[in-house]
Amino acid sequence: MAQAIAPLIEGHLRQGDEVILIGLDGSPSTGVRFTSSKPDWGGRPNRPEDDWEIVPRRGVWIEELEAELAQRGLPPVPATGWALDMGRFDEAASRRDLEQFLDSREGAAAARGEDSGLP
Amino acid sequence: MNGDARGWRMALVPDSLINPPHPVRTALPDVLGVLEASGYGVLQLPPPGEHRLLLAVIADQIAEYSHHGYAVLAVGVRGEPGNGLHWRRLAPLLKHRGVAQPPRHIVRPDVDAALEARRLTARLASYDLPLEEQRRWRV
Repeated sequence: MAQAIAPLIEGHLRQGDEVILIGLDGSPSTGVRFTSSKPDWGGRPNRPEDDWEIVPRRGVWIEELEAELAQRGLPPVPATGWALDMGRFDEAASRRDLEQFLDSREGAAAARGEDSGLP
Repeated sequence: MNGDARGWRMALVPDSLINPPHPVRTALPDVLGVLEASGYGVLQLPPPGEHRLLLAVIADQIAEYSHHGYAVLAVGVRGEPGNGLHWRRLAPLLKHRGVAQPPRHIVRPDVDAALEARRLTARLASYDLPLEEQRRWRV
């Protein structure tokens, strides 16, 4: 999947578009700031019977995608997560969080000017 | 799967409707807004060009939805190559995965946008799987 989507992201970056990554925090695959972890889970697509830990780390799909982008010599894509998989979901708080992230990107883009930072 | 906010219905949508080029931006209805209001989820297609691997991944996703009780509809844009739907490549990929071709609704940029929005809304509202299929999956 990472090899399938990376060329599209690379194309956007090379034509000067801004690309951001929004994952699902708490997800074992698409978590960005947080993922779910349990040592004996082993990658199976079902939830473990017992509880699992929320840890401050990338999910496995995001890890793979970022590794593929790095392999192509691309800078890290600014990333955040929509906290859908963190237990009790607070949509209003998640929305505020995402808006804050997007606002910070606008500020960064203005400061960066036209420079894409690509090799 | 109960209580899925997408209402068990998904739309395949061309890249140009998600990242519209400026000249098109005003000519088309707000397709994403219409889809959201109609309770559809969105599966974005890539822009024109070769995307063999990505289209295979997308065909896998469509197959997964189609084989598990979701209704899938494609919303194309007239005037784009293949209406923005990559049908020439996607259709055989779907056939290979045992998926019936999703019906297509084509939005026209040369027609009044409000009228096109109403036409799309009506099509979205009238489309779903047969009741028997809905009962099988959506209990």
